[in-house]
Amino acid sequence: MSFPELIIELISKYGVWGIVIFLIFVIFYLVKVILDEDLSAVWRARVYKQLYKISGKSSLEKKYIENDICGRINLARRKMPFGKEHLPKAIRIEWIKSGKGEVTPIREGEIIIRLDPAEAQEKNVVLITNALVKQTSLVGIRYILEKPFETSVDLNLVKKLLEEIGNKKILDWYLKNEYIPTVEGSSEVKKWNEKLVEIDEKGLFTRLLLVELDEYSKRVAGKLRCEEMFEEIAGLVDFLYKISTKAYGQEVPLDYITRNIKTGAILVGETSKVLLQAERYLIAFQHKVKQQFNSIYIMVWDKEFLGNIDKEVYERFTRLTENLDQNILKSFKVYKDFELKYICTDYKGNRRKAKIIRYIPEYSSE
Amino acid sequence: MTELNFISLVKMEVKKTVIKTIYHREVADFFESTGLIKKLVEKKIRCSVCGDVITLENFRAVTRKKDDLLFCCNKDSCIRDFTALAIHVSTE
Repeated sequence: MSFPELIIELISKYGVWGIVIFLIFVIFYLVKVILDEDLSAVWRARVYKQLYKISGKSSLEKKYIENDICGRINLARRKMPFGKEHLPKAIRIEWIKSGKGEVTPIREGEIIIRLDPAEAQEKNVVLITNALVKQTSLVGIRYILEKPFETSVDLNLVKKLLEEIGNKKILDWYLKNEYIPTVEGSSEVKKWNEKLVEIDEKGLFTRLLLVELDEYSKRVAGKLRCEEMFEEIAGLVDFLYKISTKAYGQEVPLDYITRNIKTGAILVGETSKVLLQAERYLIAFQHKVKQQFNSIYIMVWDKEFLGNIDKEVYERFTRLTENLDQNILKSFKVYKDFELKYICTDYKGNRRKAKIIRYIPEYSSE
Repeated sequence: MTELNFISLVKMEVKKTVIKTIYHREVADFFESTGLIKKLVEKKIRCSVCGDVITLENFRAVTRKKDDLLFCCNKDSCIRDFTALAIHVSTE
């Protein structure tokens, strides 16, 4: 049903009350726009775009470009799941004032980008997204990373941000002109990219890998680069790749221990284990706490199809997985960092509900 | 023209990454303000990635590395490498 049809339906069904309900919705949405600077930037951009189309004025074109980019990107990054923090950071566009007699200072490491006319706005969005990702993500570890890996992470992060923007034209432009040519142009980038795509399909790229890399940057801050550091990161990617491509019943490593990374995963998805031996997950958790892991992830892959076969068993499965979280918090000295629900693709290509919980054990120094 | 600025009361992030940009109709003014317009006209500025001559039409980005200004043309492959280069300059 289209929006005008909905209004007609409301009015014809409820008369004056239909108009009142409609107006309440309009007021509610307007308040939401006013209270949200990014959403209001998107609306400002729409107004400026129309005004620019009518007048052709440069000042209006600049305001359209600036508000549209900031609104879209900032809204998109807020939707991206990174645990507690938003990576990359929010942006603000600042136009260089370069009139007659002005002197433009350029600071070291600061990048100044020329943007294209409003008609090529998709390219502008991609340009700024690229710059933003490079400036505000993987901060503190870029000096450690090998170029193909760094490129691959950036490509996927930009792709994810553009997907969240939800504009097909922008995403298509990026895939056609940047993503695919870069991946296809280097076998090393392609190799890393294949792994990262698999990890992302399981929902672990932003929710786990980037979260751990952010933690890693804090742990190695101030240290000189050594070969071991990149090996630790590459090993973490391999560890997650094995989990992401794990087939039903296949055994994969669930602990990853190096000098600077100590993380582990507990996979909850096998129906028989959840229903009959739920305490096994608590034992696995205890084992990781004993090894003084820095972070422990519980990954729940929902058995949604059970609902069609045996509703009662499915409900029990859901209840037991929820109880697991309560039992962990009750039994261990841990801090629950975040819990994120999402939809992922399993190894057979089926869409499944999933949940990831990050716990940080607290160890007392004796 | 009145500014269409709404006051955002709730979802406002104080810390933001500022990205400096040049308006496409003000590229010549920008080179004027950096004192490089003569060099540009004389075709003495080159893309630090591919080596092509920088013009008003193909100029895409600029950064500083110590005393030198580095320029980038508008090829997609160049801007990608150039952004990475600029980031490494800032973290060196």
